[in-house]
Formats: sequence, C-alpha cells, structure tokens
Amino acid sequence: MKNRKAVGALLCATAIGGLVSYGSTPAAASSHREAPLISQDPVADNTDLYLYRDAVDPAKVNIVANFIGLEQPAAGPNFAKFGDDVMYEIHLDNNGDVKDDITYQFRFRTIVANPGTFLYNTNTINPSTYANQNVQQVYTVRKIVAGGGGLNGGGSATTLATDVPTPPVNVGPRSTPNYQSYVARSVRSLPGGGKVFAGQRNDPFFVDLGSVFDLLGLRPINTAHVAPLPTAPGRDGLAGKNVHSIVMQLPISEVTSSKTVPTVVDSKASVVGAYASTSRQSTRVLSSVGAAPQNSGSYVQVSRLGIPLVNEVLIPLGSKDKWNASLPADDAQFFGPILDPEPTRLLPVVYPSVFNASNTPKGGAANRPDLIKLLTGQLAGLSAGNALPPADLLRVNLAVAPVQGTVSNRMAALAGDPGGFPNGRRLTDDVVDIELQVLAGILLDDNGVINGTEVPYSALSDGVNADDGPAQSTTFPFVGNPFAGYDQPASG
Amino acid sequence: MASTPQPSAKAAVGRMLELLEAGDGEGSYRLLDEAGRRSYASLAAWERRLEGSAPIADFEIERAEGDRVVVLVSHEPALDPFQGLVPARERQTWSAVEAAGGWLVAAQPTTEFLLPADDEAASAAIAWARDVQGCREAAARKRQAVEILFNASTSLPTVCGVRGDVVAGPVANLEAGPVSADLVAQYSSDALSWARVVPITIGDVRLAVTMAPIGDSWEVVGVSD
Repeated sequence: MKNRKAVGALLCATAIGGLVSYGSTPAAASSHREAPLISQDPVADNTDLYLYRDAVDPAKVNIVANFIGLEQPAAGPNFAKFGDDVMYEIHLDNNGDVKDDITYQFRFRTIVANPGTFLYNTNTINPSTYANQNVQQVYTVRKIVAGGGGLNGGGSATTLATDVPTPPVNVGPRSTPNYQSYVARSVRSLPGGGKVFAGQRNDPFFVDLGSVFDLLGLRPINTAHVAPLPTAPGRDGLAGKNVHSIVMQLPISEVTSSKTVPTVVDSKASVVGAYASTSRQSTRVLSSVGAAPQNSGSYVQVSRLGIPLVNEVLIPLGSKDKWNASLPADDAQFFGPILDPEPTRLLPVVYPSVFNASNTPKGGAANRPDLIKLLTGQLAGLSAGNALPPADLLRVNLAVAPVQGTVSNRMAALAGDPGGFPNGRRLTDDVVDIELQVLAGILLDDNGVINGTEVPYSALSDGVNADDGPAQSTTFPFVGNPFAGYDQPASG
Repeated sequence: MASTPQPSAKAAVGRMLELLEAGDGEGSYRLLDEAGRRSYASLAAWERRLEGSAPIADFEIERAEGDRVVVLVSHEPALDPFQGLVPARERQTWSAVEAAGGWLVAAQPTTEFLLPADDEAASAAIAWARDVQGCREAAARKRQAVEILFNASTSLPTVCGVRGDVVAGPVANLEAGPVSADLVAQYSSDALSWARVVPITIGDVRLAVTMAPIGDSWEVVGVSD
C-alpha cells in the first residue's frame, strides 16, 4: 500500500511537471570536474565523448570530444581556449583488444597579434579571415597507427593538418555577429575524406546538476525523496554554458580493422571502441618573474572519458584521479565499484518508499549481467559469444543502421532504438536518464516496473530531456553554436 | 610480466636500445626496472608511450660507468608539437639497477642534444633575413622550421625592401620569459636548451631571430623586436 501511494505521488509529480514548464528552461554536463585533480585543471578536463554513425552519410562516423566544463560565455578579456601545453587525444580500438589502434592527437598554439592591447579582438572579427581577432588559436593534428612497439614496430605517425585555425569564441553582436558565418573557415578537410573542427560550441550535455548532486535528488519525484521537497521540473545545470569541442567526421573505412563499412552486426570487427584523453608533461616549473611555466618530461595522462558518467558517479573519490591516469586496458582494477554501483546502493536510502533490499539490484558480476553487457559491447549488438574484453570504452557498432538523434528518441536503446547509447552515443541521447534507469535495474526486469511497486523505471528521470541551446545539427560540426557572452543572463 | 635481467648494466642498456630500435614493445617492457614498472603499470601503458615516439635510427654505446651507460643515438630529425625537437643526434645517459640476479633499466634516459655549431645559426639567420629584405617570401619560408613564426614582431613586415647591410650580433641561448613563452608551450622547456637567438640589424631595423636546430642546420622558428 505504501508503494502504491508512492507510485501515485511519482506519477502525479511527473504529470504536474509536464504541465508546468518543461522546455522553458535551458540545460547543462557528464564528466565535468568529476575528479579532484582534474577539477582544478579545466582546460585539460574531458567533459563528454560522442561517437555515432552519421545518419545523413552512413559511410561516415562522427566523433565529438568536449573539454572545459561549465564554460561561461561572458569570460573576457581572457576567453576560454584550448590549453597550449595540453595533448588532446582521441583513441580508437578497432580489433577489440582494448589497446589503441588509431590515435588522433591535437596540439594547440595561441597567437597574439598585438600584445600591446588587452583586447581579445580590436573590432568586428572578419568571418572569412578572422582579421581583428587579436588572440587566435591554431592547432596541428596527427594520426598515429599503432604497431605495438612504436614507429619502428609497425606503427606510423602522419601529420594530417597544421596551423588549422579555431574560430573566435562567441563574444557578442559587436564582435562576432552572425556567429555561424565564423565556422566555415575552421572546418578542414583531411586526407582520406574526413573533416576536423576544433573550437567553442554550446555544451550539448544536459543534466539537472543542481538537484542530482543535492543528495541524488530528482526534482520530478522530489516528494518521494527521503528529504522531500515539492516536485518541480528538471533544470539543466549546463544551461547557457559552452564547451570546447574537437569534432571529427571520418570515413568508416578509415577506422575499422577491415578497412570497409561493416555489414554484420554480430561481429567483433564491426565494433569500434573509443575514449578521449588529455595529457600534460610530467614536470612543471613556475616562474618567480611572471614568465610562462616551463613544462618538460614525458606526457602523462590526466583525464580520460569513454562511457559517460563512469568516473563521475561510479568511481569513488579516492580512486578518481587514478582512474583518470589509467588506461582502459587496465580497467579490471575498477570493476569492483563499477559492478557494485554506489548510486544503486543509495536508491533505498534516498527513495525508501520505492526501493528496498529486495528490489534493489545487488552488486557483483553475477548480479549485474547488464553492466557486464555494457562493458563488453553486448549492448552494442554483439552476442555473448562475440563479447569483447570489458573496459570503459564507448563502443559503437558500425554495422547497425544509423538513426538520427532527436529529443523523441533520447532514450535510445531503452526505447528500442539501436542507433544510440549505449551503441555509441549521439548528441541528443539522454544518458543521465538511461544510466539512472539501468543502474536501478531496468535491464534486469522484463516489465519496465520496479519490482514490488507500480512505479515505472521511466519515473527515474532528472526531468531534463534535451539541451537548451542552439539545436544540434546534421551538418558538420554538428554541435550547436556557442552562446554569446553578450547574451549571458545576469543570473549566469 | 616477467623481467628479463641482463648480465651487466651495459648489456641491459644495449639490449633495451636494440629492442626499442626494433620496435619490440613487450621485450623492452620486460627490461624496465621497478620504478619504470611503477610509471608504466602495464604493457599497454608502455606501448602507448612508444607509439608516436621518435624512432631510433641507430645507436652506439659510448661508455659504461658503474650503473650509468652513455649512448650516442641518432634519429630522423624533426620539430613538431607532439615530440618537440627530435635531434639528429643526442647523447643519452641511461641508468641501470641490479635486480632479479641481473640488471634492469630505467624507463627514460637523460638526454643531451648534440647541436650544430652556434656560428652556423648566425649564418642561417643572416641568409633568412636577406631573403626577407629582398622580398623573397618563398625563399625565406624554406629557411623556416614553421609556417607561422613564433612571437610577434611588428618590425618584420617593414623589412621587405629596406636598405642596409644585414648584420648579426652574438648568438645567445633563448631565455625564459615573454619572448620564449609560446615556443616553450609548444615544444616544452627543452626549447630553452636547443634554441638560439641571433640579433639581426638591417639598416635601422632590429630583430631577434630565434633559430631551431633541424638536423645539421639551423632554421628560423621565431622573430621578435
């Protein structure tokens, strides 16, 4: 009876939320400031990784790696930019051994035309030449094909493009009017038929950051929380925020081990796993006279991201920095907390009217075959017989027909759509709601209702179903234009 | 993964370099000492470090002194933002430790770049400046290690067509500070050891030309006022 009341409250809350103001408030982030060390180093902070087959050109795969979380648009005079001393990388595993087979590396360089002014730009920036943009950033991208022992071990390193300009940040209507006109100059074709772009974009991630990290609150079901509050629609904590994106569109034949577009879904060769990372040189010496820091030594990985939210909510605080420094090939050391997720264990504590010892999934490999499937590519179309080694890689099955991501298919696989997360990840996939419901056990049940209750798993939602910003596009570079500093609301 | 200690420090370092030259990731990993294994906790981590690293073209052990082994190593020279400067030749000092009944090797040596003579930097800077003065843009570019030069010289655009002899001052090391900041950010603080600055006077114009050693010659990498 108690559960029935809770269900009533949940359903009522959801309905009320739907009537009130969904869609009127903007949205916000997946791995933003997720670990103690990287939270102090925004330019090296991977925030999200997206990987999906292009629905317009199914022979291509799209990769979006985002950095610099919670970026304020109004950030002058020193607007956000990529780190000149950071190595940005996108790693692809195309043979299932959880080692890098192809790596795209990016290094950025800032060019100040006139150090005698404090201005980022000295007049309206010319969209065709970027004239009047006093602080510019260019980058070099190279492709590493691994051979196991470096360039003498069968590998290769090819510089794909040098001095590629990034667009100016979206300053405002006087400096960067009609922002879309600034994008074209920063789109560079790559040898082999791909494209690359790097620059400021609207952060496409969306989550009720404020409520979720207030003791795992979900505003639409606030009344069911152990510390109840009035129900409310979700608020996108990343609403109005920007991010810096590296976007690649690559021919599928360039990234698969077969050098073809795969056609057999249940084949290891059809799946490509990805993660993005950042590295810094191991030694940094600060100057006592205001000179730039001196960096030296080997590059050391300081951040990585594959499947969204893994480090954010599954890895405990004491291990988060180690996780960021480690490789997917060594992920077995983290399977304990990943297969016994803390958020799952907290469900009966936070929502005691719904969850209890008998209907909350227990931890461990034997009890969480759903998470094993997530980590082994079985939720991306592979059978158990073709399961890949478990690892935190965002895996996409490139033999699965692409499906354009929209708000209506935001729940992807949980709504029967094989074209989205966890088969890769599209910009519009609602990974917060999907993972919340998976952690609660939706894949362990057949009927979509939490055991012993009448509460549907779909009630577990932060209430933020889409990004607030300029729409994601089907046209490269896909991620919406950034918010302008001039337009940033006073409330931030 | 079991270690494969060698009978002496010299043998261990020699074997390490043979394996690195051959591109044998697993074999070289087995030669890492305990500290190296801590830094590279798995073969995957070690292999990732090797991928994209400048390959060894050749090496010659110069001398062995206790646990230190000094080696002359040659590479295909390059300058890029991923590896920094890859010198044509460098002197590497490897340390080895006794372990498991033999000798194992540190993950990284200390290195000393073997650079072309400084006075050749002055000659190269003069040749570049004469091309700029003569408005031979393409010829000047061929003397540059990068397309977009580092630093911002407001005088450089005025050099084309200016009258006067091109005169070089004394060659100096690049110093830490605002002029070197961008170069250091791109190529690490190693740039402070390999870059040279050549003061150039052309008539009334004064430039500080930053040179990079690319193989056996010097090329222009930056220019400031």
